[in-house]
Amino acid sequence: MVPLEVVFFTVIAIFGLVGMVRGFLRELGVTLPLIVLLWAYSTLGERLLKLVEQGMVRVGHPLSAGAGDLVSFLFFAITLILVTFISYQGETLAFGGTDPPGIQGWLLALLVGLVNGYLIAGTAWYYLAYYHYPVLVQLPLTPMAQTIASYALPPIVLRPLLPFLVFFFIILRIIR
Amino acid sequence: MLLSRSPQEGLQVVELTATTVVLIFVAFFAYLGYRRDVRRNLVFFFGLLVGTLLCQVDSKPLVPVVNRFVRLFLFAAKGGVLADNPLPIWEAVKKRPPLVNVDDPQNMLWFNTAVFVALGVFFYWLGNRFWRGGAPDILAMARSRLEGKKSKKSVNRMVSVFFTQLTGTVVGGLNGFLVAMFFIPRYLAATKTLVVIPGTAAWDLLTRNLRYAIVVVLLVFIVRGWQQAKKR
Repeated sequence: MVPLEVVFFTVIAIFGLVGMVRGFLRELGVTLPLIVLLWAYSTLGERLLKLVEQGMVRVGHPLSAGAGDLVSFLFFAITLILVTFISYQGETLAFGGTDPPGIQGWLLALLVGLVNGYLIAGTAWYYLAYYHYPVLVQLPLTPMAQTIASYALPPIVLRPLLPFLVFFFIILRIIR
Repeated sequence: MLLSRSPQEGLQVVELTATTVVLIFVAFFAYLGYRRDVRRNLVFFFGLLVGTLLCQVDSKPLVPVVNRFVRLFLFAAKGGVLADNPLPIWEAVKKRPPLVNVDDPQNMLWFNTAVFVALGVFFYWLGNRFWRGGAPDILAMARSRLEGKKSKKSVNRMVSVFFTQLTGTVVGGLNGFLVAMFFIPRYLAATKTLVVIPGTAAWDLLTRNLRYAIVVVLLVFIVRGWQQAKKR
């Protein structure tokens, strides 16, 4: 079994390469919805989950503790995949203009690609950890994975900054 | 109040808060960043970042390499390379204690400092080597604009220079942050001089704000790239 942190860094690296191919401005168009999604998770996530749970009770299938963790994780994972897919698929959210020229443009695209990879893989990992690893992961985690899960995942690192970041990226998107 | 004075054993003790000390570092390096070209600052920042990351693990990956090189150097210096029978010389060199001893905290402190300073100086020099000359001065441009012609081209140039100098200043400030993050907890925590600095508080402040520093770095790069991306 591959350690979780190896998968994490591999996913980030793949997104970095994808970013290099797609270009800096298109990648910024992915960063914005991901940041907005993180903000929505932090403000509305729990409420939406309660709605899902109430819905399950209404249809006569109340969630047990274990299944509840799985469903909650799947809720966040599916919305994350959906938003990621829409962000990468569409051109609408891409920032206007042409990429910075030369190696600088490549490096910037790589950087923002890595950031996107971190936001996607890190958010998925955060909700895996939050709901006690209901799928995919074989416990126990390595010490390094435990450190990352405790301190370095996007919802933990960015939580106080999210409103500012959403504002910042929207301004950046509008001004040009 | 950031500074407070209280008499202690006949001395006037100036107590600085952790924030003040960090701000002094940040302000000094931000000024350097303002004066230097942004590319040179970025190269310097890269060196300091590598140094900081290495020192987080006590530079342990470098210890065996350094010890081996020192032994090789001693072996060569004692004539081992040219000797007919180099084995006794090698045995004598092997018996010497290693230059860097991971079990000795003082030794590791010096080693970490040497690594951090060497990386910082090397990358500072590297930046100077590649990009000569200082950054364009936004204030001088503003003055000349007030005195001279007001064309649209000069406004665009001023905006570009403003962003460049802003980036340089922010990256310079981050350099100061990294330098403070290295030196304050290691050297100023136990200072018994006129300046008394609560080192633990400084360390807490730095680690707590590290994430902000990383986010600011990323935002600076993004703004820089965004500003350089041409309009369609």
